[in-house]
Amino acid sequence: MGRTSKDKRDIFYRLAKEQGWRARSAFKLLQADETFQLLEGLTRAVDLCAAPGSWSQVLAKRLYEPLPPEEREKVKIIAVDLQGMAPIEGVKQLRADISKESTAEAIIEFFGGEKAQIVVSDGAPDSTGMHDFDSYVQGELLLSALSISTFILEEGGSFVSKIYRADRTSRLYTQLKRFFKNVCVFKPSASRNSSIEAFVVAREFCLPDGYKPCNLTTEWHDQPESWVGRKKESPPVVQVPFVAYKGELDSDRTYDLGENYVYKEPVQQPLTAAYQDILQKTSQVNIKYEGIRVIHDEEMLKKWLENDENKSEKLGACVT
Amino acid sequence: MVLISDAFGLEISPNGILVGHGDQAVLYSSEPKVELPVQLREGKVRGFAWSSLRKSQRLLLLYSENEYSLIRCTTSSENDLFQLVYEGETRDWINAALFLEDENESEDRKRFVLHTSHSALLYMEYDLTSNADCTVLELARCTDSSILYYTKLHGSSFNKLAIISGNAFGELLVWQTQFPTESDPKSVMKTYPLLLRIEAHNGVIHSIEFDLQSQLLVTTSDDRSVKFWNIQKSGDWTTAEIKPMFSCYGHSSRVMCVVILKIDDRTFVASGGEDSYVCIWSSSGELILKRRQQFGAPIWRLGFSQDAEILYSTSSTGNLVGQNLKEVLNRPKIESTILSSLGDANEFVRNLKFVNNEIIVGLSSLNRLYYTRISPDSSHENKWLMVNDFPSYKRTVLEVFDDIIATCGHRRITLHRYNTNTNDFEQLFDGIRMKGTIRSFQFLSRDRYLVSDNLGYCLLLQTHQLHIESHIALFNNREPWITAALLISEQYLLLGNREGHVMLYCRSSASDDFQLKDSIRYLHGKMGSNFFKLLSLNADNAHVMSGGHEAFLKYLSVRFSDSTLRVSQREGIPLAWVEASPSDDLILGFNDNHIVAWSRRNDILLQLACGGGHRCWDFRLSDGDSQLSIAYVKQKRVYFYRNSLYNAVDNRLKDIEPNNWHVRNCNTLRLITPRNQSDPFILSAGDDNIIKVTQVTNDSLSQRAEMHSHISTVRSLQAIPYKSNGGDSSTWLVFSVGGRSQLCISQLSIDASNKCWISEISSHTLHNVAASKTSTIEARLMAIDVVQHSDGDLFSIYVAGGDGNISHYIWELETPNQLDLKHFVDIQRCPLGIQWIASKGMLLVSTTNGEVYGFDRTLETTYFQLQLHVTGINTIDIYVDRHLLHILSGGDDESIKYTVLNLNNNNVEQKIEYLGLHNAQVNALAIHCPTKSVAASELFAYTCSIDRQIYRIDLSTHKYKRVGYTCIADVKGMLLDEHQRMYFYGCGLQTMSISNIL
Repeated sequence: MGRTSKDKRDIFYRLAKEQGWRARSAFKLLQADETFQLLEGLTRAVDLCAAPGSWSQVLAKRLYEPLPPEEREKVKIIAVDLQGMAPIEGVKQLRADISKESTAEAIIEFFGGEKAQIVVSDGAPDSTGMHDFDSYVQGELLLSALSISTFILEEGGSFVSKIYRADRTSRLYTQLKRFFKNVCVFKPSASRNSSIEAFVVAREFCLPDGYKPCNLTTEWHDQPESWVGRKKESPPVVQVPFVAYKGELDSDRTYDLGENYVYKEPVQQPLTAAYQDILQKTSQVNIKYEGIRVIHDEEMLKKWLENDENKSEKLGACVT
Repeated sequence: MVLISDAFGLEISPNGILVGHGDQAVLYSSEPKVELPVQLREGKVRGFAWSSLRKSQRLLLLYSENEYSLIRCTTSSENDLFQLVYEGETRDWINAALFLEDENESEDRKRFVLHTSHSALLYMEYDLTSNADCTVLELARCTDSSILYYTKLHGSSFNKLAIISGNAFGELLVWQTQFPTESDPKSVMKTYPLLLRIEAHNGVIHSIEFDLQSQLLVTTSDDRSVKFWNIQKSGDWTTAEIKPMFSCYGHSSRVMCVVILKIDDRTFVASGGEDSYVCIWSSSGELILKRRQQFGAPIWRLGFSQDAEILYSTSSTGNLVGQNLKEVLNRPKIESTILSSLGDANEFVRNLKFVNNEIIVGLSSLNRLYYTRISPDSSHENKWLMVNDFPSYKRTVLEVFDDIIATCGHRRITLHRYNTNTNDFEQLFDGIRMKGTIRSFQFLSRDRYLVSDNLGYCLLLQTHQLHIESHIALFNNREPWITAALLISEQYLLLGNREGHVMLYCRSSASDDFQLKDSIRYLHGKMGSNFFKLLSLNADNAHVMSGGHEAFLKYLSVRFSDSTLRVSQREGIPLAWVEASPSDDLILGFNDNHIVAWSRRNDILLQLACGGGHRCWDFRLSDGDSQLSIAYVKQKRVYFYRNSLYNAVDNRLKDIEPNNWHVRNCNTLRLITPRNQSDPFILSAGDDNIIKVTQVTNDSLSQRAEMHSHISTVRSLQAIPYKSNGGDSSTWLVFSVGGRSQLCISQLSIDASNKCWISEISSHTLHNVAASKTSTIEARLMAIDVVQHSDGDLFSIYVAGGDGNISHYIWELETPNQLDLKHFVDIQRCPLGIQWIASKGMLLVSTTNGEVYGFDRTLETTYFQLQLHVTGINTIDIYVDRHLLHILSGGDDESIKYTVLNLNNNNVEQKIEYLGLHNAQVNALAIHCPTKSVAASELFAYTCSIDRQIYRIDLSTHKYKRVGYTCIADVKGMLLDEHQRMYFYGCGLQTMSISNIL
């Protein structure tokens, strides 16, 4: 195994580096646009859960870069995420929580009082390894994205979001159908066949009569009759049409590198990782048999250990 | 029904242990286990809550996703009775629950709270005397509604309840049900303020535990830390202060769970991780114990039994494992005792061996032999005594067998015997037998020895007078001496030398010399085998285990008919190198600078620091193989360790039957039925790189064999019945493919008593013949099928590679290492499945772009190419009815297609799409023909998807209905056996009987 193995086994990983995308996920939005012409002529776009920014790159490439310099100021693209990311020309970054109404207000203000023409979201949760819970959390992310879209999306607008197809998919489709006349599920060829990942493409946004935008994940709080009840049989399956991308490249296939192959580094390494701290420490100390302790407040620790209740042994030397 | 699934719920109570095992809830106690009743619940059980005991009964609340169940438990003198009294559901994911003890509560009205993942708390009441629904007394919610990964509820009444949670941003959130900021007059909803928001971790918070009395709060996270906080609270929770003290790092992946242990007025913390390790920390953050406990499976929950001082863990395999902490915590660490020095300050022990459980002999730096008695009282200092009558010459070898002690030097050998009665050593022999410096002395038995020196001279000696029985001709190598020896029988001798070669010797009769017959070079690399262990012996062959300087045990097969030696199996174990296999369960070896004891039943039992790279050590197993003693030399001092290996845990609980299923995804599964048997065996393989053979009997699994040939994930396997040599055994050839372009061929035999033996025949790396000049493609091999030719030893092997190639190889059993590539075709897509239809001489290939191909046996003719799905065909099943081929396929496009193909003209006669069944990938389906008539008068199908729903389709009338669901959240396939039993596999295994779901 070498550094070229991933280039052989993942054609989109290789192409993303060659074409300058920050992540291979760029091709998923590119393929959706190619299939549905989502981005034609748009000037106001929102990218939710944007980091590391490959979808924002696509938006800038499609909306901002093709225009002559004097017309580029008409294009407004805003990328929203709590995580930071490197700047992209033509894209404004907003570090905010997408489940907050204040975030929606900030977006509309950025658009000068107007609303977005498209909202895209490639949000996925930090995996726990518990499949059912991971699917639930991803669904909640989708509902959060949909919730803020009901605040910021203009009538007739479009919504594109990652979706984990699992055992609670019906409730997500039900919510999407409330607000969009045209809902389908799209599988790009850049997504692996074995992946439960797909993307909902929802078009023709229309708020129901009398509907007031709110957070859909807590909307049930205002419906006391639905808080609890006896367990019922499973509800009927809700389906939306399935559309697949017709392309030549196969993300599951292993490709020859070819004689003209030149290795390239990834465009952008991940900015943050939850375990970044420990990686630095374990490069110096092996935790296979011994633990590492990092003291945050030595005085408080001593005071706490002086309490007889808390002693499990004498205070030994610490690794700091 | 068999269920292997995640165990997310764990509740320790004095009268038993509750485990949420998939969608089941099981109570383990000293009585036989009880499966709690269930009616409509489908989600996996995640937690439990007990109400207080009144009138010999109490309520148990269990929750699963957005469901909850109330079960009345009535305690009587004989046993507990469980009655399901209510099943409810909420609108959001329940992540915590608690029974309350409100003052207003009557005896028959139980109050509890359900907390959901967006900080909404439902305060509920249930009336035991009526059959009404639960009543909502209040919906309490917090001003913060971020997604919560963990919540802990604290307090015995609603007005004093505190909610402590961790979210995806690593924030610790605290609020309480006091002083609402907002009340809805139309309903009973109130909004409460967030009291504390603490930036606690760099990643998701996976668990929170705290103990107010000791002012300790602990959190664990994606960032691999176990963080200790000081928590102080003088009044209500508005006065709470939570401040970080220190963070501990010991896990190599996410830390999923934590418990605070109170033992003998001392405080400890135990954490469990995705790396399958349990770490026990002192209150000052010292790592006291780190032990892998679930064979590599992620640990989901920890629970502590205060009465028994047993720490329990559950994992993704559903296993419940206990660890007795009494012994662990009675001493600060696993440490060795330093034995006393020899009398002379300039003399030290440089090698040592156990003679029996109490006596250790040590060879000193001045070539004198000492012995010492280990006192059961560890505080009593040992004393070394010199062995009299010990000839004075330089020694190079010290070996012990029973009470015989052998020491060797240049050409000279001395034997002593320890007399237990007189507590003395008597000399049996002293003399010259060899030509060079002796490097190894191997006991083959009490009175048979194999001795080799640095000149390559090797003798088989017998009796205590060391008569020469045979000369052994060794290889002429630089380091030719023997490191392991085994006398298989009077005719066969197995040797391993220092350079790593294993050699089989044979003699015609006892009076002849042994002659070299066969050899295997570098069995464990370029270091010699450390030991051989005879596993089985009969008139035809013998099986031997060999361990050496690698993380694999190798199983050797000796065939007597032609005196051949080969590796039949290998077994991966978590040791860098292996030293001994003292019992069927226990393996001893080294990792880094630790002596490690690993158990097949209990995973890692001991890791003893001994200083690194150690050679002069010995061990003793006693007390029915449960007590381990270790002695070793380190820096001229002798260290001694003795302790029990196993915990006395299992005796307390009944019916805990650990499963040995895959700890990672199972990708492929086949069913085989031995001759004269009715119950099938499962052949399975997956992302743990292991092929397993498991017997299915009613509601239980029994693992029979494992094959560790693959170095990467196994994608597909096929079992071909093979002619047996006679008798009652059945034999299959198993062909498997997976990552790293690896194809393995094994032989599996099952005899009448269901004893399984699986051996590796060959392993191949299939390189792409069209590889470019710049690189070699090592594509994953996605699928395999095999055709046995009329010549029973000749096989056609069809392999589908991730590079798009479908290849046809010819393989012959007599030349197993040779694969002849006959033809290949590039379908320009990644193939997903491959299936040989024997009755039609056709190979079916399905792809990631939804196409299915039909090839002839040579792959040179394409009979048909059909577009069945718009994305990948994830599963396919066929039924042949004369000239009609029925194809049922499920895809990534969530659809199920039924296609009937006329093979006479390759035209599609019928094409049906079933919509409205699934809204996720369809990964599992099977065609079911209930009557075994020739005509397909009745044809049904069962389908399953990532949405976990199971449907039954009548392929004649095209009507379908939902018949159930599966616990396997990422189902990868299903099979149907002759007993009308369905097998769903993926991250677990579930069997269902068709009769039970219809």
